[in-house]
Amino acid sequence: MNKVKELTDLTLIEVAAGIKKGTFSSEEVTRHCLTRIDQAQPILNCFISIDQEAAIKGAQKADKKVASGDKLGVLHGVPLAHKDMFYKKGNRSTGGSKIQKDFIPSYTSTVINRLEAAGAISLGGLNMSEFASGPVGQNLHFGDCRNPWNPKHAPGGSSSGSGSAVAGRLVFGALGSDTGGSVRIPAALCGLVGMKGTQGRVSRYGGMPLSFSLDCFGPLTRTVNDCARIFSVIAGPDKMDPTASLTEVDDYEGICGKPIEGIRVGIDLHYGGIEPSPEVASAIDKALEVFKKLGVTIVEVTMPDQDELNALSNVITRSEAATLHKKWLTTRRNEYSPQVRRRIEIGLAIPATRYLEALSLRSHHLSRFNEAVFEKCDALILPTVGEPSPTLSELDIGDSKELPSMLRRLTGYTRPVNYYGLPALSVPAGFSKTGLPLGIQLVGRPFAEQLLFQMGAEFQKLTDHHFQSPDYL
Amino acid sequence: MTADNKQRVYQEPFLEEMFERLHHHKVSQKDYTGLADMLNPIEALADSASLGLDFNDEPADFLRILNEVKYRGSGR
Repeated sequence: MNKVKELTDLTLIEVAAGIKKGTFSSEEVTRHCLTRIDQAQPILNCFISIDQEAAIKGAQKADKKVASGDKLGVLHGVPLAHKDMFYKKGNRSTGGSKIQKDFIPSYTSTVINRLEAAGAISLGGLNMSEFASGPVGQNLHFGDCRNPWNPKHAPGGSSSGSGSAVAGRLVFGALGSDTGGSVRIPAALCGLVGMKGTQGRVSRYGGMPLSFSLDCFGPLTRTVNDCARIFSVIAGPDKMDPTASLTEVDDYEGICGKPIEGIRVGIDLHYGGIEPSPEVASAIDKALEVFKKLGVTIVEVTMPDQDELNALSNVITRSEAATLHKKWLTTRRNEYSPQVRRRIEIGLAIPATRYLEALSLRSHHLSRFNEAVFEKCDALILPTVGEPSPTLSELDIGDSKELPSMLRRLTGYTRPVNYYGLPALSVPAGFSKTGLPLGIQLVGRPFAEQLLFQMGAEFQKLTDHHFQSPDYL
Repeated sequence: MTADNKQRVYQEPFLEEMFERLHHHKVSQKDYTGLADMLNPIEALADSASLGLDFNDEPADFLRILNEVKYRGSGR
């Protein structure tokens, strides 16, 4: 194994510890990542922009701080990269779109400010579905991003580059956004951990919006502990985002490693009416066996029908997206890819009453879900995606009639969770016969992120899916 | 309204008129058909869900419930 691979195979927490101790420098790690990105980019196309010079300068500055003995942040000197939609003052932020390809924000997002304050280095902007709209990760403007486990397959979206870059061992973690599954889907299809927090747990200030009622920002990493560390940095109240929750932030990383004996996990044997593939169903069964070994009690629950919730969630997302995009839909219509335009444009035809009904019904559905599920268990286990990653060519359907069924296949288990506003952690749960990753999600009560990290970390103690590395180079 | 028509609330001429009058926006017939195909199943499900609404319901209730049912430790 060469040194490039040795360093980039370390977990985020191991790298942060190594930089702090002086085992290796931030510059050394950053240069290793950049070398690997250079090799991988022609295969994966997961970066839209690579900020080599700024990254090396940032790493050198981080190393000086280590040498000075100053107090270091928990991500000090660690190379990350993020979906190209988190604004940083003066840096181009495309949103994966042609329309915003030259957009230079005049302010910095709260999540980027917090990561920088914790010492993280950013290597560039990651590929994504255009305007964060699409669960596949295709992008007509910047080229399709590919899955490191098999570059003919989709990484999932919309945070496609985040999934591909972290799974490809190019960076140690990445931010994505999740409006209907866009953190959890690429996490599952790329064999990673992805956290979508409770609605309002993470500030949305300075992130490109798709749907202000449902957008959530969250990390993708290789391990649960890594994910907990990034989430601890970005979570919490923010005066710049009045919708950010004032609820106290728990210790997400410190809980990892604590036993989960006595916790109750719910399973709906009908999966809310959407049947997963036999391979995914088998991965769920095996995951339940692991949880039983950890002393968890398995409880049968019956979830409400997922299709109705998917529809209500779609009403909100499409209405809000159409409101945001209305001007461009008329003046720059041809600069959208046909599929993304179709998905946004339908919002122009949804009446305001239907939109407000969908918002007003959220409280009813959350109460009902709480009674049906969380009165009986502490967390629910669900597939993240009901099948392994499809090939990119299989998903090359544009705005054809197959679009609604493709969206249901990929987002059927994730979109309702956004509607409820609940936290969900996607964790690697095995591989298909063809060697593609499978993922499960643990869904908790509002603000139960700490419990989900605790459960995920214990699950990873007894499984080794997250140690598997794709051999694409 | 027949069951079939209820499934096809959105039809091409309706969308065309709505887009032109409300949004001063015109798209191709193929696009109107594609939009109708996506909108109709969503509309059917959302319409059925709307029967569950009460007079005093409003969107802000969601944040209240989110806090009411928040996690307070195992076994709650």
